[in-house]
Amino acid sequence: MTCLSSEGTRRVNVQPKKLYSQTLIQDRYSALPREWGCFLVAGGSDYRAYEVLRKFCEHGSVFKNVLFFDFCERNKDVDETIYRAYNSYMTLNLKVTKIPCSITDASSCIKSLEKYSKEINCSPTAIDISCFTKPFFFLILKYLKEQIRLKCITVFYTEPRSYLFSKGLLRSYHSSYGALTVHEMPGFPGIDTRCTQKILVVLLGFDGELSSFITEEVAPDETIIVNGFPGYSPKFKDISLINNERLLGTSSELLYARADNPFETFNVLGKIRRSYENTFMNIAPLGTKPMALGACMYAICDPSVRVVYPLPERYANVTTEQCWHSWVYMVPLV
Amino acid sequence: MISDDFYKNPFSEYNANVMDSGKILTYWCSPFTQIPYAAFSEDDVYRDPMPIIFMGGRGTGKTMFLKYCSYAVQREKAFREEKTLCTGNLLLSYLQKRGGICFYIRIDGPALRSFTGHGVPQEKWDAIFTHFFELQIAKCYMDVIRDLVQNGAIQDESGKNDFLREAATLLGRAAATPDINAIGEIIEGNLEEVTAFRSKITLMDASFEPVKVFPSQYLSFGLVDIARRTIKEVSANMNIIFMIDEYENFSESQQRIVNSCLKFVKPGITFRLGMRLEGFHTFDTISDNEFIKEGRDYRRIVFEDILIKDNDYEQFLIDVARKRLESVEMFRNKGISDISIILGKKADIEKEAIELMANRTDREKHFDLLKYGAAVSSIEEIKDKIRWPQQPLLEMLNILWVIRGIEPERVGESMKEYLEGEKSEDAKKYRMDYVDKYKLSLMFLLASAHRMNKKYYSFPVFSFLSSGIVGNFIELCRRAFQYAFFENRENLLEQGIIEPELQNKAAVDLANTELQMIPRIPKYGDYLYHFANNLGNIFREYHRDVFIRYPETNQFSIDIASVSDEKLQKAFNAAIEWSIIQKKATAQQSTPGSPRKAIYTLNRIFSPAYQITYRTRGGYSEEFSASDLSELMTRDVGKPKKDLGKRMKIEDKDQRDLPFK
Amino acid sequence: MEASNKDLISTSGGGEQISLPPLPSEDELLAQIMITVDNVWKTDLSKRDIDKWLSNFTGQAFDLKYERQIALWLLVNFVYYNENEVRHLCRVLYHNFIHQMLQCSLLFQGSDIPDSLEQLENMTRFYHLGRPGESGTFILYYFRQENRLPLTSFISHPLRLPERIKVVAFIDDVTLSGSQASKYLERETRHYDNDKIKVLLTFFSTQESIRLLREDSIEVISCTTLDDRSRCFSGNSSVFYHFPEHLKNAELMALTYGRKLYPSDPLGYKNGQYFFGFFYNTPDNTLPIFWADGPGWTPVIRRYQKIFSGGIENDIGRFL
Repeated sequence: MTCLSSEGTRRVNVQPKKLYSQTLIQDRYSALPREWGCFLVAGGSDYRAYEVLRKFCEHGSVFKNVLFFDFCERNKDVDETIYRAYNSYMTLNLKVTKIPCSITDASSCIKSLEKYSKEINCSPTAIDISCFTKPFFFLILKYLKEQIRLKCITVFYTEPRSYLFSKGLLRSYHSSYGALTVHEMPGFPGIDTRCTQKILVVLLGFDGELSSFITEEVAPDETIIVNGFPGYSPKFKDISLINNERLLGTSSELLYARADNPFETFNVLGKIRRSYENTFMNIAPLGTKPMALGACMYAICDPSVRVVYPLPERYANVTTEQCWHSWVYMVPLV
Repeated sequence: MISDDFYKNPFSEYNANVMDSGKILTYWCSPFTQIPYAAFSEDDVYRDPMPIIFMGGRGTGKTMFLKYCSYAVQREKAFREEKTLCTGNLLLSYLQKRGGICFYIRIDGPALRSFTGHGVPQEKWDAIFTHFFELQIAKCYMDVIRDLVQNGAIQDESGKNDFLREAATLLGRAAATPDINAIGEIIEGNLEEVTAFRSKITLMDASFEPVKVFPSQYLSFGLVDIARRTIKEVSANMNIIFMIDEYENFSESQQRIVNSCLKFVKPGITFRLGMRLEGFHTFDTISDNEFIKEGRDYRRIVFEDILIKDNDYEQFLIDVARKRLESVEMFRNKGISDISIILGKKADIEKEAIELMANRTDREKHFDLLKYGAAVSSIEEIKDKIRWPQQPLLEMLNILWVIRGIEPERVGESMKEYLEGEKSEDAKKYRMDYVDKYKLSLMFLLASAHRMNKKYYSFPVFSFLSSGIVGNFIELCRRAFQYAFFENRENLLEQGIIEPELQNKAAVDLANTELQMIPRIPKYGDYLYHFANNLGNIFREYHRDVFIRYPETNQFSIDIASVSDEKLQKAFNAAIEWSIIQKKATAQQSTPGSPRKAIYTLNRIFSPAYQITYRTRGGYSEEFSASDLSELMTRDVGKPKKDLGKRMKIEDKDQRDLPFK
Repeated sequence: MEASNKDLISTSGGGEQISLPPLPSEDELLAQIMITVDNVWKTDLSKRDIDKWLSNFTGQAFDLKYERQIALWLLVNFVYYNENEVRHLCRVLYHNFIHQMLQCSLLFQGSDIPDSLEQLENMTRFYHLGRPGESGTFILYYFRQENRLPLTSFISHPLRLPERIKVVAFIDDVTLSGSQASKYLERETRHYDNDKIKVLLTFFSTQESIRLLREDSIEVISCTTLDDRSRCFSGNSSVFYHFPEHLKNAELMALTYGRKLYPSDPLGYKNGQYFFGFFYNTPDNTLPIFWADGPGWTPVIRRYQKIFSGGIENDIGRFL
C-alpha cells in the first residue's frame, strides 16, 4: 500500500485496491459477529458511550473482554445524573477490565496497555470511538498497529441526534472551555525535514475558536480546509463554515469529504498530499470522529504527516443529545 | 451576481504567516519610516551587533517585519528592484549594502511543547532540545548558503568545497567530496532522528542515542566561523543574523538555552527575537550565575510604543489599507482607496447625538438626571432655562452644570454667550468644558440616559480601537466591509462610504469576539477573562457617573512587584503578553500630585463592549493593590474605587452638597 | 388565528399562559444570515432583498415582529447548495454508485478492482431523469465533468440502450416522494429486459421513495437519505430542536401564507416542508414562503417553475 519515494518519505499509493466497508447498523446487529474477543470502549456520560454495547447485548452478543478506559476526569463528576450515566455500563453485566487513565495523558495510558496484551490479542478486536477523545483513539490505533501488529480492526461510531447550541444560535457551539494549548498528537510528530513549506489541513468542526488557535500556532504557509459534507444533518455543512469564518479568509482551498465516511477523508488527504509534495503536512482533525478516523488511518500510513490538536482545560460535559445512526467500519491498519 | 473576481473584501486575509514573500513585499509598509525621530531604523536590524528583541502584541506586525527582513524576502526585493535580471553578484552586493543576512527561524508551539513528558527527565529533554535547536539553525543556514550558490552569489568553488568539507567534519561525517546537498541530508537525517524519538517515546520506553550530539552554539556559531574562513563572499563585515520568531512559545528551559546564545554572541553573529510583550519566561542562561539584561545584552523595541504616535500611526494604517484596497479591482477602478474617507475622517458626535434623539418618544428623558442636583419640584422650571433641543449635547452640559450647583439662569446665559461667540469668562469656561473636556463623556451619558449605546465609527476611532495593533484594525475593517456589502452595498461600491451604524456593528462584533477568546488563552484564560470583564465594568461605571467626576477613565495603576502571589504575577504578565491590557510607555501620575507609577489601559478593542472611551485622556487612574488584583482576577467584582454615589433628591436647597471639581 | 402578545405566549392544557423562550433577535439572525451568505452561499443576497421578503409578512398569523422573527429563523436554517457543493455531490453520488455496484459479487466475481471498474464503465450508461430541460439534464453535465466520464457513457434516450449494457443509471437531484420518478421510469424502462439493472442516482432521497422505487425494481443510490429531521414541522425537526415551543406557531404562519401562495400544497409539494435549495433552482417540496414569486409576494430564494407550454413572449418586450 505504501512506497518509498526518492526523497525517502513515504507516499501512499493511489491505485484503489480495496472496497471500503462501512455499514449503517440500524437493526442489523444480528448480521454482525456474535462474539467479540476484545472490545475497547471509553467511559463517558454521553448516551452514545455504550449505545453499541447495549444494542449488542440486546441481541445476545458475547464479549470475552471489554477494556473500559476509565477517565479520572469523567468518573468523578459531582453531578448525580452524569455520574449515573457514566456508570450505566455496569447494568450490562459484562466482563469489564477497567484501565485507569487521564484525558490529558494518552501516552501513559497506552504504555500501560502492555499489561493487557493477552486480552487485546483476543480477536476479533473492536473499538467504539464515540466517546474517546481524538488523541486517545489515534494513539490506540497506532499502538494496535505497531505493537500488537493488528492488520484490521472493527470500529464503531454512533452519531448524535443533535449538537447543543446555546440560545439556538449556530455560532454558539463550544465543545470545551478554558485555556487551550495546541499540541502534537502523541505519536504523530510528522517529518518536516526536506520540506520547504508547511501546510495545514483543517478538518472543520463547529468550534471556530479551535481552528483559530491552531492556525495561529502552526502558522502554515497554506491552509486547506476540508468540510464534512454531506454531514449528519444537511445544515451542519453550513455551521462549520459559519463558525470558522476567519479561517476561510486565510485558506487557499476548500474541499469536502463525507462527515460519516473515514475512507473518503483518507482519500482526500491522499489527494492533498499528492498536490502538495515536499511540504510538511499538518492535519488538525477538528471535525467529526469518522473524519478524524480517516485522518488517523492516513497518518498511520504516512508518518511524514503531523497531527495537531488543541487540548482544552476542560471539555464541556454535554455537547450532544441522544443517539442517531450507528456505523461500523472495517479499518485496515496497514 | 457579483463574482469573486470582481468584489472581494480587501481585508479578508491579513495574517503574515500565510503570506509568501511576494505578498509580504506587496503589502509592506514600514512602520518606522513614518516616524521622523524613531529610536530605531530598518538598518539597525542588519547592522546593530547587539541582539534586538522586538516585542509587541498580537497583530502588531512583528512577524511581517521579521519576514520582511529575512533573506527570502530581501532576495525577492533585490530581484524586483533590479530592472534587469538580478545576477548573483548583484544579489550579493545588495545584501552587503544592507549589512547582513537574516535567517528567519520559527519553531511552532506544538513542536516546542513536545520536548517534555513521557517519562523522560527534563534535563534529558533539554539536551535533546539543544541538539535539535542547533540543527534547526544549521538547516536554515545551509538552505541560504545553497540558495546563494544556486543564484551564483557564491562563486568561490574552492572556498565552497573547503566549507563543505569542514562542515561535514563538524557534523561528525567526514566525506571526501561532499556536496551541499549531502550536508543538507546529514542535517535532515539528524533532525529525523529527533522526530523518530519523539514519536517512539509516546508508545514505549525508548532512548535517544544519536551518532553525535550537538551542544549549544556548536553548529550555530561553528558553521558561521567556517563559512567566514573559507568562503570569501561571506565577508566579515556582513552580519549573520538569526531571527527567532514567537519566542514566547519557548518554555523556560528552552529560553535558557537560547538566552545563552544571546549572551555570548560573537562578532558578526547576532540575534533578533520576535515575541509578545512579557514573553520572557526567564532571563537566565544555562550558566547558573549568568543572565541576560536589557541594555547590556540586548535591545528592546516595543512595536506599540513606536506605532502609537497619533498621526504617524494613522498614516501608517492608511497606507496599509490603501495597498489592500488597490489590490481589489473594483475599488482600484473606482479610485476608492483612502480608508479615512471610507470610514469618515472624524466622528461627528453632535450629529450622532441629534440622530440618537431623532426617534425617541421621550425626547427629554436625559433631563431626569436633574433630580441628582435639584429639587424635583423645580425641574420643569429648570428645563425651560436650559433646554436646547437643537443640540442635545449642550443640554447635557447644561444639566451637568446645574447638578454641580451652578444656577440654571447662569447656565442658560453661558450657553447663549457661547453660541453667540462672546468672550465672557462664563462663555470661555463653557466652551472649554464643552469642546475640550466633556463632549465625548456627555455623549456616553446621553446614550446611557436613553438606554441606548454610543456608536464607534470613523477612521480615527477605528485607529484608536486598534490600540497600535494593525491586525485589529484590519479585522475591524474586514467586518465593516462585510456589513457594508450586505446591508448597503450601493453606498460602499458607488460612494465609497460605510455608514457609522455599520461600522459600529463591526466594532461591537469584534469587541465581543475578542472577549470570548480570552478564556481560551493558555494557562490563565479564566483569570484574564475575569480581569478584563471587571476592568470593563469598572470603567463603565465611571462613564455613567452623572457628575462626570472622572471623565473617560480607562486606565489603572498597580505596583506589580508588590504582588507576592506568583500565579497572579504571571497572569498579569500574560494579560500584557496577550494585549488584554497595555502598559503605557512612560510612568505617569495616577492622579495629579501623586508619585509616578506604571499605568495600564484596557485594550481599547474592548471599549464597544463596555461603552467606554476609545482614547486616553490621562487624568485619573484607578489604583489597585495586590489584593484588588486577586479579586479582579478571580471573581466578578467590577466596582470603582471612587464613590460615584448619586446624591439623594432633596427639597431643601440648603442641605445640598456642593459638587467638587 | 391572530394574536397580539400571544406571539410569545402559548396556552397550556390547563389554560394558563406560558411564556415561550424567545427566538434570537432580528439583529442576531440577520448577522448570522450575513455570515452564511458571505461564507457559504456566496450569492449576492443582501439585506435589502431580505427586507423585501420580510415585508411579505404582514401580521396575518401573529404579531408582525414575531412573524419576522420566525421568518428569519427559517431563513437562518435554510440549506443552500452552492455550485461547488453541487459538484461535490455529483462526485459523492458517483462514488457511492461505484461502491455499491462493485459490492455486487454477481457482476464482478473474481475480478480485481481496476478490472471491475473497467467492466462497470463498459456495462453502464447514464441518463437524466425526467425531460430534457429539467434539473436532471442540468446536473448530468456536472456529473460528467466531475467524474471525468467519457461521453460514450451517456445515452441520448433510455430506449436506445445497446444490448451489452447491463446497468442504466438515471440521474436527478431530488427524489423525495418517489411518485414522479416512479411514473417516469415505469414509462421509459418498461421495454427493458429483466436482466437490466435500473438505478436512480439522486442527491437526496427518502426511505419512502427508496421503498416505492424498489417495488419497481429500481435501486436508489443517493448522497443523503433525508429523514424526519429535514422536514420543518415534523416532531423531529432539526429547525425547532432548540425551540420546540415555536414549532406550531411557525407551522401556522407558513400555512397561513402558504395557502395563498400555493393552495394545493401550502407547505411544499406533497407536504414536503423542506427548506433547501440549489444554486440553480429550488425544489417545490421546499416551503413556498421562500420561493413563491408573484403579485404580492417577493421571494428570498429563486425558483424557476416548470412551464409546460409557452411563456417567454411576455418577457421579451416589444422588439424581437
